[in-house]
Amino acid sequence: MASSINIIPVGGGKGGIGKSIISTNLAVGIALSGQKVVLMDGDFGASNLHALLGISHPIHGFQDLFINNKSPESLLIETGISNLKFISSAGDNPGSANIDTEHVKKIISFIKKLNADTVILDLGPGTSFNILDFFNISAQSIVMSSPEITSVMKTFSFIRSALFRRISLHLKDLPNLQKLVDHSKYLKTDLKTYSVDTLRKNISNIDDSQTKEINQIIEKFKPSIIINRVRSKKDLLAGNNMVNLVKKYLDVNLNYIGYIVESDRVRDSVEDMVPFLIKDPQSKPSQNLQQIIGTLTNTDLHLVKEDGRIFVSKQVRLNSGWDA
Amino acid sequence: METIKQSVATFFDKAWLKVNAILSLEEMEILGSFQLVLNNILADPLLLVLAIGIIASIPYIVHKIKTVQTEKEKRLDALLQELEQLEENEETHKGKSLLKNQPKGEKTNHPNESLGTLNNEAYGNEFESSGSEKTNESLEELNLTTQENINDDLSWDSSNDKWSDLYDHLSQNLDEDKQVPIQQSIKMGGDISEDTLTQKPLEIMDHELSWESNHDEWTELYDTVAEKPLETDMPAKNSIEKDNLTPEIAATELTTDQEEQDELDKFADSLEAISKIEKESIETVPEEEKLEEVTNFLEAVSELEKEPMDITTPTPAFNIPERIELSLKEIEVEELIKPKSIEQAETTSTIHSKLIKEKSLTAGPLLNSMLNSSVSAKTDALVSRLKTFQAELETRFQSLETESKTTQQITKTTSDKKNNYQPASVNYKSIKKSRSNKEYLSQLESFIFMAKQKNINSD
Repeated sequence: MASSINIIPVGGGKGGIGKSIISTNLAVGIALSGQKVVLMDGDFGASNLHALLGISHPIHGFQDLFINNKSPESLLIETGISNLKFISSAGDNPGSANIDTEHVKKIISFIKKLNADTVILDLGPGTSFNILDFFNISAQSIVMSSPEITSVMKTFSFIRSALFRRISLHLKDLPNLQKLVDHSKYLKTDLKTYSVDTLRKNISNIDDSQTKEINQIIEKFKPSIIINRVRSKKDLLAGNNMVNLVKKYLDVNLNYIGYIVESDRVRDSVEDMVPFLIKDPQSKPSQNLQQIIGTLTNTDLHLVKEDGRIFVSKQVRLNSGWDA
Repeated sequence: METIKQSVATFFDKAWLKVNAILSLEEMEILGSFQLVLNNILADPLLLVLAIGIIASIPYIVHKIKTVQTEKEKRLDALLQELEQLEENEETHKGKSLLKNQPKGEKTNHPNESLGTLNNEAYGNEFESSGSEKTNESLEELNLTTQENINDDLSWDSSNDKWSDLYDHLSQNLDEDKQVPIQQSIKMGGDISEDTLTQKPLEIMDHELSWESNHDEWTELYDTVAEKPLETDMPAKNSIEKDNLTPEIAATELTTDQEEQDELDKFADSLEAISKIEKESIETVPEEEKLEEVTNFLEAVSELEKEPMDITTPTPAFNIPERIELSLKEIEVEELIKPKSIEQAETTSTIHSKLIKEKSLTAGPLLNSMLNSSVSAKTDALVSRLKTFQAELETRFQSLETESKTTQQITKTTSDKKNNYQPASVNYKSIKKSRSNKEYLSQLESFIFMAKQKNINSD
């Protein structure tokens, strides 16, 4: 049961690129397509996802997991959207983002025990280890970016950090090798290991036996990327550029699953605290998102709103979207 | 009616036949419908009259449209001409050099001029008082308008030989008078600030500040004064305070002082009012009496010349001892802004007021004739009004004295502010926005990786 769950962490190096909004609408779309979805606010310390769903004063938060030892099901909050439940991290305190590794592990195990087909985990910005660990829960993670060069830079750094964190955790018993990818403990680490090629080279110089396993880790790491707030055709190239850059320096096959155009509808939906996929399913951002959901769920999803009611059309594709 | 109808019909028939013969219109099918319409019109007298009326009105309408168009064009031309004239006037005012011998368009080093740019932009809004540049322009306008008003009101035509002779006589004498206090002021200034005025004061003294002195002297003298900040000239205040300024100098000083425009406006209004009163009184007097008045006037002027100190005492309105700190500069400015007009304006106002006073006191032939006429009562009223004007002027110039101090402070603070700003050395190199995708990628890489890493990567 737990192993069949599809966890989709949504992260990104930069703040304000639309991680929370896209996570929410992604969860809504997948839920409307018929899957049981749990949306979890993983931005510990700066939660806001409940506001996007219009849920005021959430009755539970993830803190209850540690305080009252509540069961995972008891933390789920109804959203009013069929098949979609929500876990809030509201009521978080300063320092919540810096919970220790044990607590992170507990949360991860809690997520994996959730009774759902898909868990969408909205993460906070940055490249702290906690965020990277949550991002690395699943190989099918999503990285968000906007077309601006600063955002693209941070996205690259985020992907590299996530990959190196994976490798670092694998090499935790081999400090000579771990220091190549973990600069937090080893300040004197040489900066020559900035790409996968240099990493491979340096690891083979120290311990060639680890090269194969590391290659496997790199091969398994297949995040997807969504470019948000696209305003021109040129902006679309940001995704392609990122794919090329990640392939060149990290040897990772980044999956460019789609883009969302810049629109006032999205902003309006935030103001109204209603996901734009429900508020205006025929809008351009909604159509973009439906294509992304179709890619993720291997379906052709189409939403229509008539007389205030949402009608869903879903057709299963023959070719697969996600890797199993 | 029938005959008219027949004649019209025959006329149209003839015309139609001729046109038909020339163009063979009958063969054209389209004209068949027109023929029917024409037949209908010819059959109905009302339609015929209407058609004739319409045809007749066409040339009138065309003519009307043309006239309207031409009228519009004329108006536009007139407006454009006005605009050009205005622009020309502005150009002539702006192009006027501050110094007599200074070539047009040469930039002057007036302390307030550099501030003018600041005043126009950000600093100008901070101070509610008018900017220095604006004051300059309006000052010239004021001088011109004052002169025009005086000329108009007093019928002082510059082409009039009689008045021009009088003017020459007055200006010659007054110039001589004026030089005395100027010399005194420079002497006093030299005593107090010898260091600051060492460049040319002796030469100026040697030449007795004659207006015909050569270009270099005046330029150097101007530069000497212009380079100095306002504060360095401050000691001259007290020195001049001891000397009683002649009204001419005080008046010219006032006219050249740029910050006192508002007061000058009021002063101009007052002058205008005075001159109107004068005009009225002169107009009521017959031509013969006017000649007598002129002779009286000349006599009064000669008396004034004999007793220069007496002029200052009855006109405390012009006695502003605190405002001599720009004396040297203003002497030059005095020259540049039509000295004749200013002198003319001021001397006429003062002398006329003096003259009227004297008239009333001495009861000369002019007054007798005026008393004999029915205007005497009116003259008394006018004299009393003149007195009130004089009182008003006194109070206004007293307030002007204090205002000038505040404007000085404002100018000082503005210059201080300007001095507080130092030019920043900014060596900002804007990176050109990448055009191709390849360039974009290389730029992206340059942002992500360090220089060392780049070298390793290239190896």
